[in-house]
Amino acid sequence: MKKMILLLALSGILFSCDPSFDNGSDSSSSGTGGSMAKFTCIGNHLYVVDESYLQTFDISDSTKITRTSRILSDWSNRIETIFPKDSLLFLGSTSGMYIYNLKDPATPKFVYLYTHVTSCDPVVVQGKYAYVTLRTDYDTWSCSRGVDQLEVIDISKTNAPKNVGTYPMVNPRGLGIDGTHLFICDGMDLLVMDATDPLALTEIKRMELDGTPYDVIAKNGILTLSYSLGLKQYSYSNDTIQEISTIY
Amino acid sequence: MKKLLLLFAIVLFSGSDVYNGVSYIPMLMDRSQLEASVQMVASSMPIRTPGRIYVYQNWLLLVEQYKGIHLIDNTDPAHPVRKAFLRVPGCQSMAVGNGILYVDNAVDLVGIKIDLGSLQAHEVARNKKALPEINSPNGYVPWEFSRINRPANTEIVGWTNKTAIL
Repeated sequence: MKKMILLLALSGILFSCDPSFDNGSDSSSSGTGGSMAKFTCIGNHLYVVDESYLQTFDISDSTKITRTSRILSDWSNRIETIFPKDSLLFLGSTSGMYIYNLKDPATPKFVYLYTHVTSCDPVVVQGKYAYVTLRTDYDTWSCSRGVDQLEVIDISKTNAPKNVGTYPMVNPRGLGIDGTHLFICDGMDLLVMDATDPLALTEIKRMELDGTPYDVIAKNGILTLSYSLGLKQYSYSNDTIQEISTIY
Repeated sequence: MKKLLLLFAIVLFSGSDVYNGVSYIPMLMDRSQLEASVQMVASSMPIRTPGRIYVYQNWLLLVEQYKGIHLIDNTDPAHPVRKAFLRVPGCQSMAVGNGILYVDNAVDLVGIKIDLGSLQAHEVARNKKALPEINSPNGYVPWEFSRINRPANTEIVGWTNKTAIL
């Protein structure tokens, strides 16, 4: 009881700027993952990609994690990443990009597989375009025959996506997009591209890091980047991108 | 898929986990230990092997590969502060849904309620063996470390490499 009172007393000061994970039913009850995510939460469901499967779990009761479906997506290749957009899920696999719809959130339904050469590839989506990086990974045999490039795919027709641009890369990993800014972890660099025209991307800046970048989240003018030595953050607007912090 | 990979491993490498000259050995944990392993470490920990990232309100979550999650107060992105470390053996991924943090605790999927004010964590749900075993960085679990070839009731919570002679 004393704890309760203390918590109540503190809540005004603390929780208003320091909220807990269990505060609610608003849109902030879930967050934002990077392009390399294997888990994503939408409403009362948790979606997990693992190897060949897309699994769905009901999380409406916080004391239970109940599987509602386990769909074999790709028998011969690995599912690497999951990216939610509106009522669609985009899965990056070693053989291509899968699109599933969530008309029934408990059982995602296969819409399309956009295939490409064997490679490792995360995907992010903005508007009617998907941005996919394909990477050669010599440490993992399943990706070692790939290519290194960025592909832009028009997904306005989810059952007939088409490539509208291909750009050579060094060795790309995670990527993120926010408005006109496209960020790509490429080799030892953070590559910033102008995506004002998704059909003709242009390079704004290529910044060499003191380690290998892995993934990014671009949100509200702040870029968060995880790389082999820690975490970096940048602020960006128009043509200006500036490093603001690093922690190890 | 796993069977296929194993066959590949056996054919190519005579059953040992060697690829590109690097071999890995698994870190094992008893199941009973695993189920009591999720804990908040009050103090922060240095970042050693960073992995996936997640933004939740003014917090950043950063996976420490196979070890857990750094909780970073990012109220001021110019001055992020490592506040605490959530110990989750075998952790690689995370997402927040309905205010609960979901993580992989090796092959188990675990729901954790976190109070970011007092930095306390309570496990509220666990779905055992919901996920496949953690592959070695080479992309598979070598035959010699499969369930039938390692101590009973153990789970793989990570991999360490030892330089091979290949």
